Amino acid sequence: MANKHAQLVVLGGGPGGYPAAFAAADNGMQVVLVDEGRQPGGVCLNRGCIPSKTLLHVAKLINESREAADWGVTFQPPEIDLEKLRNFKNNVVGSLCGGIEGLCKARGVELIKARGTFTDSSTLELKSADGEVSTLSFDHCIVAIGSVPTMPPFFDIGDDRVMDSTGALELNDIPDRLLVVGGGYIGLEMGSVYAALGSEVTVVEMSSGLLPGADRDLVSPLRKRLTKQFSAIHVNTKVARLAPADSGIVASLEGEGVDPELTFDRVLISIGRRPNSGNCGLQNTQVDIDNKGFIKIDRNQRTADPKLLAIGDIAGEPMLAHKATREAKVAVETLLGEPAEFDNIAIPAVVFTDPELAWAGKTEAEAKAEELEYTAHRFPWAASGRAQTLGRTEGITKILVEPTKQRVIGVGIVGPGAGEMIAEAVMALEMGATARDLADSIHAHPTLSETMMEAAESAIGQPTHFFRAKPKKNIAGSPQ
Amino acid sequence: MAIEFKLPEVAEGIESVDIAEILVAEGDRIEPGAVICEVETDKSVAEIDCPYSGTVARILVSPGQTVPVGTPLVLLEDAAASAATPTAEVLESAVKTNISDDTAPPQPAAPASDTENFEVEISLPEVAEGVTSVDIAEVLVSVGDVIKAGDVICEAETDKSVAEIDCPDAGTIRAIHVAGGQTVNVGEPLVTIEVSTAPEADAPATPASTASPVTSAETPVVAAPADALAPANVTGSPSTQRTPAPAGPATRRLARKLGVDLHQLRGSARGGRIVIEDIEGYVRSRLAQPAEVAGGTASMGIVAAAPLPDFSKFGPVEKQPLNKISRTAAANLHSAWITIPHVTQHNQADITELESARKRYVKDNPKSPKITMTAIMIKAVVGALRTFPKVNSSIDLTSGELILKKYYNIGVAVDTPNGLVVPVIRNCDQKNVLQVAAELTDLALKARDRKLKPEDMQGASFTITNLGGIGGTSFTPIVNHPEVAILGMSRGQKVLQMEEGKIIERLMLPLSMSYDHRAINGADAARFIVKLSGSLTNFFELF
Repeated sequence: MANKHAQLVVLGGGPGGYPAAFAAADNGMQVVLVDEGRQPGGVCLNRGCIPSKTLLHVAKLINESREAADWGVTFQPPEIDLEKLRNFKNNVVGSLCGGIEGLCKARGVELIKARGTFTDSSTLELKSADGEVSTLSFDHCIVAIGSVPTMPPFFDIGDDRVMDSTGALELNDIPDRLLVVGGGYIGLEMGSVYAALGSEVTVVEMSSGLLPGADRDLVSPLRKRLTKQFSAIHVNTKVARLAPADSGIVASLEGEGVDPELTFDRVLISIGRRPNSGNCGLQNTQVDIDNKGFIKIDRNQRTADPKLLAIGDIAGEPMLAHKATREAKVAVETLLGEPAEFDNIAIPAVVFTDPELAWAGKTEAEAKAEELEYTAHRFPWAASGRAQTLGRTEGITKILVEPTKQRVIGVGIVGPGAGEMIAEAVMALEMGATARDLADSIHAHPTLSETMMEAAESAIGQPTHFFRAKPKKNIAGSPQ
Repeated sequence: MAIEFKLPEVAEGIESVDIAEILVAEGDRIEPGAVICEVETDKSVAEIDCPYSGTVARILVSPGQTVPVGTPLVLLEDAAASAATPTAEVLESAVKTNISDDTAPPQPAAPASDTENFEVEISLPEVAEGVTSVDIAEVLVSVGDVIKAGDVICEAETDKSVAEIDCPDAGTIRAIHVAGGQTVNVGEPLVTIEVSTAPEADAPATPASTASPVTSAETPVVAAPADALAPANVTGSPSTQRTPAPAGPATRRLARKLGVDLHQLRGSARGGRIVIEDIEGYVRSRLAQPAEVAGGTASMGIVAAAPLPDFSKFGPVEKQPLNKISRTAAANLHSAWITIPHVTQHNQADITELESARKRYVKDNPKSPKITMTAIMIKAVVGALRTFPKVNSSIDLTSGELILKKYYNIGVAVDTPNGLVVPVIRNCDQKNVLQVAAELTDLALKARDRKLKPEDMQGASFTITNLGGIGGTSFTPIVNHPEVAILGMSRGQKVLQMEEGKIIERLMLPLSMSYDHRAINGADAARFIVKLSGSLTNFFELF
């Protein structure tokens, strides 16, 4: 049994773990990165963000090739070579994961491909894929062990036609009929991919609307479009049972106006993710774990165990790669004694459907629930030249503004490219920008980013390309 | 099973200790209750015993190291918690509670918590530059009034003008702390209002509830270096959550680095946004202000000492580290010397008869507690303190109050090989001289054996320091803040006096009382020491 010691061990090589390992190594620490995967990168690179976006890009291309008929350009229906498509996706993943391994080497981070289990607060037992066992002790460890898709036992019927997001991304076939359980971002993204490839997609969501958490006015244009792409979207509907049959998976559905039994060739369970805290020996350390399974941390990513820090999905909601990456920097700077703190005001959320939906800061629902004083300013993309040229005028850019200082407190966008546009909103929120800061900054023409400027203009007066009669008292009052 | 035994909480409020001595060696087999090490706090020495049995595999600290509570001390192999010793659990739970209250888990998206009402004290703002206090002319609100941000609370007169003081927050008046005609200092509370959920008028209400996975206190964080990562308080209290200050990430980082509370600043950029220049200006202006006199900052660096020359140029030197007791004493003495205007009043008490009576008693009662001059002095001091209550007080400059103590707890400075400690004898007014003497002997022994507990050294209202056993004719002791007086005793001297034409020999005890001139004026101090001396001469007053 080989024994090894490291100044810093990073457990988990996902978008939290590897940036933490790199940052620590760049600052002169002796770092070992432990990851159990065949290649590092975590869920994000291997089974999440990257493969799904690769497929979504293809889906968008297929959809646009169809829509082009309205503009006088007609293509033949696409022929889909599934193996080639899988290879394209796998090559993207492989090249990015290989990139991480290369960067490990370049930075002197030792990458150990093994599963790590805590035996106490300063020791990991490592087990590699070939069964070899060794121990690794450390001065400190950054725990970045992520999350897995939730699969309730009553859906786990031991039939590989019932998949989680990992299975769906494997793209084994294109089922004729796909049931997506859960109308969250993963369900809608994967549903969009399979719909574009030719599946008849049915989405079942337990709550009253798709994408719970997003503002309804922004979900509406997406829902309209998905209604055309999917064969059915059932909200307020529960899947009571899944039963395997020769003809497919028979789903028992409970909801108004829904057939009580429908048969599908495949079922995607996408009802959420849960942290991986249960199976890596955390009980042998002093960390505190909350009732949802997240490791409790403070604003410096410190846990209740003085030797352990935690970042990413294991350290709490929202379970997003970019939150993990920021937390990685905070954790390393905390170890270095730098004045870091996770004091971020905005963590952007992006749904990569078509149209994309993105928001940062307060949603309008949150602002209402918290009884904040705010005004909401919507700029419809029908008034955007760029949106017209794309034939995509369903988008909306919405800015929430605090009324006394006109400070931006939240931004929501729906429309193609919303995921890229939200970056400006995050910057505005973090910098404490006012509506006028956005309105007075020159935005390139013709771009969709102009909608941000014009939404801000409606907060302080009238935007150039849209006129909305306002009550008299508001016209006079520009507080700036 | 291997267990790391961690430093438990040694005493309330003690966050770190110096490791004095390690009493186990690697390979030792220990039983529950075995003493692992001796540690020094700033007040005492404590033995740390281990509730587990096991074999010491590794010692994780070394003598001289300063370690926070919760630091692993030793690694035990084949360890077992002794079921018989409840201390195992007690110690464990002491460590546990220190790192996390077992309260609600972090709630990533709980906007509802923001909707609670809370009370805010509205204090007198700076009315005009250089104005430190105002006279309240008229209070314009009453309890129960619902007010808006900007509503006038009261009218205030400065020496130059009348100003309206308005309320920065909206809410309901819950209490009024001032009345017409009263003089109020800047910063003192005017009213308490109950604020509902409305955000502060000049602060942005931007935190995405999803943005802070864990709420935590907003105090500026000075991050620990890598080798001393403190256990985190992983359950912050939501009551300390505030809306973020309008400042970019780089600005916020600089503020954390400098310990600047951004909520104290008014930003100069559009909409009140705080930029780096605002922080620089704020720090510059704060540095330009004279150090505040009030409050007992126990920092050694109130006024930086001049840098030391390289003494080895002049001859050989040896460097000795100061132990924790010495470092703490140095900081406290420095603070007291700088903040307290000291005066020392000397007198000589005629103790001729008292001393012979004392000696006689001690000789005739060998089994009774040993009556020392210090024990008698404690009783004499209590008598004088009863007559002059101001000497048994503390001064609170922030509230402008003298706090008179109705108890008589006398601290006695004890010289030990380990440094100066001041155990306290409580409620000396309720004890006779024999009880005091017995307790004094006991405490002095404990002090020499380094067995004093922190609570044995707390709560003194007056201190006595006796150098008579060593010699000297007089000295100027330093007041033991927050007390206002300290009595120094030197060695009794035989002097010749004229009495009715005859030369007689008298035994005189030199007394030196240093006092805080802010609390006690010179005449009262003189009266006190005369009364005290008189009670030693006519010692029937003591009974």
